Amino acid sequence: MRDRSFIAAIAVVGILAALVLAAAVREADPPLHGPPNVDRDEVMSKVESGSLSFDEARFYAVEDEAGVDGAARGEGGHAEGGTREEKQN
Amino acid sequence: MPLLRWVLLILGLGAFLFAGVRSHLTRPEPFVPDPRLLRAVAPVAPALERTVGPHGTYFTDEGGGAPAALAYLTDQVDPEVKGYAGEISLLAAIDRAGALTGVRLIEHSETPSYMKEVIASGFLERLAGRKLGADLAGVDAVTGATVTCNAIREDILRGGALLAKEGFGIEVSGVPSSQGFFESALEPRSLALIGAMALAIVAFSIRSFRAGRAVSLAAGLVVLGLWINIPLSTAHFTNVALLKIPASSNAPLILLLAFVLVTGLVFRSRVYCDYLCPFSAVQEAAYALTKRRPKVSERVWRAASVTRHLLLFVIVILASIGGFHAVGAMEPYVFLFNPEAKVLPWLYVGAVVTASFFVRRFWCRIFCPCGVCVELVASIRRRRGRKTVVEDSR
Repeated sequence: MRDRSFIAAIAVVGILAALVLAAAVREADPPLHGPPNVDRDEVMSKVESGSLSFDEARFYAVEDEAGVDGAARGEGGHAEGGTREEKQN
Repeated sequence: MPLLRWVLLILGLGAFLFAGVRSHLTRPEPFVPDPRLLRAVAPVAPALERTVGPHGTYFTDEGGGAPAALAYLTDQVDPEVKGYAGEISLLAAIDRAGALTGVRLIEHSETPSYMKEVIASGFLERLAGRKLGADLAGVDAVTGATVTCNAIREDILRGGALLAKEGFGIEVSGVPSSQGFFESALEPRSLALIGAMALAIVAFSIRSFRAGRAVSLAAGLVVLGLWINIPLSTAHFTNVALLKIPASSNAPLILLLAFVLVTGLVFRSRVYCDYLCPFSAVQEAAYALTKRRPKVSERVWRAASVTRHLLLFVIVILASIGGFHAVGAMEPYVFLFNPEAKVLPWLYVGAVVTASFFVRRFWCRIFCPCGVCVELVASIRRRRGRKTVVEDSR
């Protein structure tokens, strides 16, 4: 293996490692800004049925601190009050 | 290059310090579950109210008469039971007969792949309907996630036993006492690990006997990789730095961390990497099939070896400041020994193993952030100029 192929191997493994790291971040602790237009009632019913952990639900359904997190805490939120866009409209 | 490594090291230590100060100053409010979640675990009781008792906070229907159910969050009642990386928060409920009516996972810091395995196996569903005591304690753990399963079972059982007595006046019998370090250390898998570690020390001590290293690595592959399934990962080091100390019942992990520390300080070398790491064994085996020496210039080698430090730095920042405690478990061997039905991890493992056919211990020398942690321990008392097995063979 010479310099060029060595660097290419490092680049390939580096890219794959970065993708795995990004996936680990996504799975380890969901970001506060999840994807929009998620049916939050469906997410909550999945949490209730046990097919989705609360941790995972936060990724799918939370757009801000008062999202499913707030709903699950009994404070209202997107699961009960719609998305941020719906509220603004 | 050494200057860059020092800068990364100091910044990394600063990140841990920042995370420690921040967690000390900002304590999150305790989680209060939604009524729908409470109904999901305790369908026999339509409305549960929050109650504070001597053993912690729980939820019960004390409208008059005897309560029908009692729900509790395992991290909000006694005793504290740790999983692989800290306490696991579960919402559990028991009825007045002392049977578990439902369990939901709320939050955890376990390695995501282990917890996914636990959930996918239906372990939590198997607990539901069981009576507190020997019935619940008898549910089999999921192979490959034993520590996590034991913690879940013990946490629900011990907290539930206290609350059953307080809420229903039930005395739960058959609650196993918490496993201590020495009990765990005397289990066959811990004894096998001790044997593999002893073999590694012997092989290191008589380095002139080259076959000893191969035998030691093979023992590491079988015991650490295939049997106990705890190849050391960067997450173990970042968790310790974040004061997420392993439970005393997790003797294999404690023994492994102690091995790295003691051999690093006594032998001033990366004995774990060179003689015990199961992924080193896999890479060495791949390289042994080709034995092609790479014609790579020294300049490229030096530049490439900084990648390990950069990767460790990114993980340290994500784990400390970002709060992503499990990201350190991203090394290829985690996926090799805990296979997932996903394309990306297999591409990743495949690429690393393929490269190892042409470059000896490709991952260890270019990428392994865990190896840098082991090296840092060894460098505390390392003599200048002393080389590792891999460096000697370049």
